[in-house]
Amino acid sequence: MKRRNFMLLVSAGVVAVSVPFVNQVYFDIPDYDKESIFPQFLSLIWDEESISDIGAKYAAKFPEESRERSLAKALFSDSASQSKDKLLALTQSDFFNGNLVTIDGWVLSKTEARQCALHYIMNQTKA
Amino acid sequence: MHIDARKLSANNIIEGDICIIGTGPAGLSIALDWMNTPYKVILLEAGGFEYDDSVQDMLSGDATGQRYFPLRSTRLAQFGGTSGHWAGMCSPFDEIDFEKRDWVPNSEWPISKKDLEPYYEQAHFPLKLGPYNYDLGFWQEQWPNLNPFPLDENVIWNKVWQLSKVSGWNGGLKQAYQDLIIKAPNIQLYTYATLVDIKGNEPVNSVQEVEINNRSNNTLKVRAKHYILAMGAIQNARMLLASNRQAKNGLGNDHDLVGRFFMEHLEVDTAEMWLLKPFPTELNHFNQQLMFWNELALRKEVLRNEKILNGTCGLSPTAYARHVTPRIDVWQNEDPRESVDNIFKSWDEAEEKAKAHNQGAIMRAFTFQTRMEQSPNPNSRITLSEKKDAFGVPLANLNWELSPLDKRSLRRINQIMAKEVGKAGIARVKLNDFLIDESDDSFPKSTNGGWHHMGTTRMGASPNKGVVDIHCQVHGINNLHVAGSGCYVTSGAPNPTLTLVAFALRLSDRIKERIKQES
Ligand SMILES: Cc1cc2nc3c(=O)[nH]c(=O)nc-3n(C[C@H](O)[C@H](O)[C@H](O)COP(=O)(O)OP(=O)(O)OC[C@H]3O[C@@H](n4cnc5c(N)ncnc54)[C@H](O)[C@@H]3O)c2cc1C
Repeated sequence: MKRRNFMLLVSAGVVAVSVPFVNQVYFDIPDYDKESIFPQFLSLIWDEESISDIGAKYAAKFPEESRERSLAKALFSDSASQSKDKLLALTQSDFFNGNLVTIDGWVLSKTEARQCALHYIMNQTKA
Repeated sequence: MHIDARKLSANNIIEGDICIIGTGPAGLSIALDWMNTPYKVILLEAGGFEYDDSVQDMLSGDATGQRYFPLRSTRLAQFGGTSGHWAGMCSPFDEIDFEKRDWVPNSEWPISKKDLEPYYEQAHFPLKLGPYNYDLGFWQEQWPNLNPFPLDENVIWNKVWQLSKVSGWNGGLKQAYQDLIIKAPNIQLYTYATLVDIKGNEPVNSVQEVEINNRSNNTLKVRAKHYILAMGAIQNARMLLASNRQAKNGLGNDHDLVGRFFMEHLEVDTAEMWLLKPFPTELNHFNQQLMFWNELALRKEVLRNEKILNGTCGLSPTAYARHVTPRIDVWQNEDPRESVDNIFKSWDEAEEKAKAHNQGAIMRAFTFQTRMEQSPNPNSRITLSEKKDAFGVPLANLNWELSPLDKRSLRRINQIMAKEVGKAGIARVKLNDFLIDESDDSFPKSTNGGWHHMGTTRMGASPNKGVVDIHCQVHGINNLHVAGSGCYVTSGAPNPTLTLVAFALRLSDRIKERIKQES
């Protein structure tokens, strides 16, 4: 086998071996309940459009969190966090811990702001 | 007794034990305190019993720096002074307001709140306030629905205000005390008697006489044992600066402090608090029956940790507040009466527009109206203008200057409130645009003051620290005293009048003691 072909095969093999690994680490999206992404507290004062709007602004402010996978990972990496109640509790504890973010003037918990962003992205995907 | 000074002829010499110049809350509180004493009180007022445009002119002046109201219309030159327009909101300063705070430059008071406490209680009398009690618990006993939000008590507390029964819409102190003062046998009230000069002995360590113009081209002299300037913070500074025949820089101004450290209260819409669910309470409404008002305040430990100024947040329904034009835009007429009318008109219009909102979450949204002290700033100051009044006395100019600490404090107060209501799970807060960019130290043109003038004759333990000493006597001039909010070193967050009346009554006691000793 010529050295060049060998190299190609080896690199293909490497790719073949590493793709599932990379996917798992970088591309895997945690399994989560799509219903739970709607921010419960904010839905008491905003309609869906406002939630999406804030979500879009969050995604623009934090481009590293502007895709489903990064947001879902941030919100649902811990399997126990997948329930609505857990997200509510996380939102609350963000306020205690000062884990806050200001989007368009709104002082929000990081968790609920991410929920808005995920909601926005999922709606875009649907559209 | 009342004497219209316009009827007096030139070279009249009026004599008394004390001479009070100005009949606003400061001057009148002292006059009332001397009623029925064996001492003869000369009470001088530039205006008459009614508004007079030609008298009001002496309050004119130009303003630079942060945009301000026309100086002419921020005060009233008539018997009762600006109490003819004030809203009557009263609350004492907090303990921390008198403490030296290393993060607030020039914040050193030479006295503590304890020194003023007994006079706060006494000040309730001339201002016709309720019992001297500002604990929420006391007021909850009188009115059951004053439920506070369930906020962390280590961070936030509820600061109580009382509303005076002698506010502008009740005719102010004029309505309440005109007859009483006129009938008081030991008080001689001179209207249309404008102070134009203060004359000292040589070497100017005592006032010999003051000169009064009676608007009929006559100059009269008043001689007394003690003189009390009670013309308001701007006019007191102006007259000290303008009395410069014997002391080149003006009286009490050897250290270039007269007129400096002008302070206002910032009274600004800063954020919206949207309640997640309705919260039944009457705590944050103006309670006309109880004459009560309440605002959210920060604990002094929080102010210390954050290194910010003191401020409180009042709540106004957002459906209404969004339609209210900032008062700095509305109150731009040189005629105070027009400006008052414009304010009421703008509130009526906002109320009309608010009717369009009758459902949805906005019905439980409240706008934070933050009321905050301004940090003492030597460049924020009153100086003399090139322009002169009808008697040749230079008018006052104002340079109102705010600082980065003011802006950071305003922002942090609202961010902390936002965090706390979030912690309590009751609301979310939206900061107003001008507070969002943390690197922006500027204030928008729409920034309101509270029509509160303070700090121009500040108190200091020594002449290089202040214009007046701990008793409000001008340093180095043993019978010249200043009554009013000009004596404040820092301005606290609450409206100034209750505190300035407390200071005036403390000064009154001091002069009584001295007069007894001196005779
Ligand atoms: C619209 C408005 C609302 C307000 N609301 C509140 C409030 O709710 N709560 C609060 O605490 N404060 C409020 N204030 C501020 C309050 O009115 C002042 O703090 C208070 O009136 C100051 O009292 P003073 O006696 O020092 O001065 P003034 O009340 O201004 O009285 C000074 C007097 O001195 C006289 N005078 C001036 N120059 C001379 C001279 N050369 N010779 C003789 N006499 C002279 C004037 O004619 C006047 O009568 C408000 C002010 C305004 C304009």
